[in-house]
Amino acid sequence: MAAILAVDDSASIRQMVSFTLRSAGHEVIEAVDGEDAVEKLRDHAVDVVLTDQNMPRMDGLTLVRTLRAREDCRHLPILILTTESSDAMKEMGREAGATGWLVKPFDPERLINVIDTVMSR
Amino acid sequence: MHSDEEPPRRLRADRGDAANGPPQGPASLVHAQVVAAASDLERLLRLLDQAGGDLMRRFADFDRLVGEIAREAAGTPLAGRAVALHEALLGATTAMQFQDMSTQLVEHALAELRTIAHRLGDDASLREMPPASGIRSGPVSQSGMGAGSIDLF
Repeated sequence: MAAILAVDDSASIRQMVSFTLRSAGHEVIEAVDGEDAVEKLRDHAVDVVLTDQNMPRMDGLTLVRTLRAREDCRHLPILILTTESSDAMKEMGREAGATGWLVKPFDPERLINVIDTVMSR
Repeated sequence: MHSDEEPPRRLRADRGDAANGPPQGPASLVHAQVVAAASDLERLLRLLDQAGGDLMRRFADFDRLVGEIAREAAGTPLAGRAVALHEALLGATTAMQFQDMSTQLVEHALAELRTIAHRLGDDASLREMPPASGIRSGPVSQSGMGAGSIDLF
């Protein structure tokens, strides 16, 4: 079982992500944007961050850069789950230090498999 | 779901440039059509928010009930049915993401219409409008609800 921080300003996406990952036995902590995610990480140790890109206050790429600048998050798997699907955006994600780029809508089985894959790296 | 966010900003039907007043001539008809289209999209956003919120609440209720059934059916012949119910619910999660995607699309279209309406009410802005090739595409490019791609770096 892993502790996963799910970051999305859409309550419906947070609900679907939580339902999917809890079904696989994972613990899910929710945050509504990048700033909220940074605050949640003060109180929770997580194994994976799964974040949206387009969010108010702090977007996903900024969150990735913020966490990669921290010693304790340098190797933390961070996946971006977004509707943005252009190669240019994916490249920005890779350069920022994201572990992977997932385009919505997600398939529950594939999401669970990706979490398992990045956890075992 | 965006039910915990403020409702979409209204686009006033009589909006023109604050200094110059409402647009005149042919621009006024286009302005009125743009405002009407924006008003339709605002109502669509509210419908999506209400319907999506209701679906999500019912989804959560169903999830809770399936969990209760699974616990009560443990060790009985009904246990397999409870697992099948849960898997059916899990299978619905891809399609249930429609609200987030459609809301983003509508909000993007609405923002474009607001920009057009504003510029129609302001001759100076209208002359400075960028060519069509300069318009940024929306944040959602998918045209279906099939699962999206996965890239691991």
